[in-house]
Amino acid sequence: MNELMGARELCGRPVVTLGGDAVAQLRDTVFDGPAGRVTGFTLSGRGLLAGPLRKSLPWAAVHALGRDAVMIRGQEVLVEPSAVVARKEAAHGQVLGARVLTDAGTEIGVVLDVVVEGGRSGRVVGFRINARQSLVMGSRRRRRKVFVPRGETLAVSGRALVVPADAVRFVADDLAGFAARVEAFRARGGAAPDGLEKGPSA
Amino acid sequence: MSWWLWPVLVVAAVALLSALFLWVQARRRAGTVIAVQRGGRSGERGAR
Repeated sequence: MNELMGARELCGRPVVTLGGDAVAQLRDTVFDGPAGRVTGFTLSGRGLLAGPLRKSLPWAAVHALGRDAVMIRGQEVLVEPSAVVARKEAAHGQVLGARVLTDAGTEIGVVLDVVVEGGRSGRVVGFRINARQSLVMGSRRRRRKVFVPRGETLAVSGRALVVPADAVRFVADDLAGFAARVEAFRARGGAAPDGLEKGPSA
Repeated sequence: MSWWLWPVLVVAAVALLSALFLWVQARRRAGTVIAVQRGGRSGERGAR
């Protein structure tokens, strides 16, 4: 699995052509909820005085999503903003702060960030959430920030996300441990162990 | 009003306007995460 990164930290990351020109920086990350893949980015200009650009970057035009920059072939791959996200979708699809529910009907927290796999994958592998106490066994604190894998059945409706109930057994405390938890979640094959299963970092 | 109050007021007004400008710029450039539903179609299957 490629390096995992939070979508919030992508904001401000420079968009660089393979020719070495920094042409923009990332603003919003747009992903397809049911498919679990990044579909593109809205952009802002470089520099303190620059505002949002009238161009956006579809994922198909991304050469690689790296730790320090997003690489594209050239400036000609940038498209109209509506090709990535319509204005109405942008207004109603904001995920940060949304409630997270399991398909069993339990609210497990609110979304703090969306975890994306870098490189050429663009997969959304999970969420960083502010977990309710009921999710975090043995925690004295009312809420705690944990990473929870995205399920194949993820639904996005209004201000809520739905994840499989057994995803809460694969929470991790940090991104380093989360990659292993995601792999374990994918490989669970219906034989997940009972109780809250936590990674080595937890 | 004392004469020295004018430069103080001007400096304060400039500082206030600068802070307001920077705040507006920060808001304009602040990103978020947006979920959409594409119904399974996509050029979003990954970059080349």
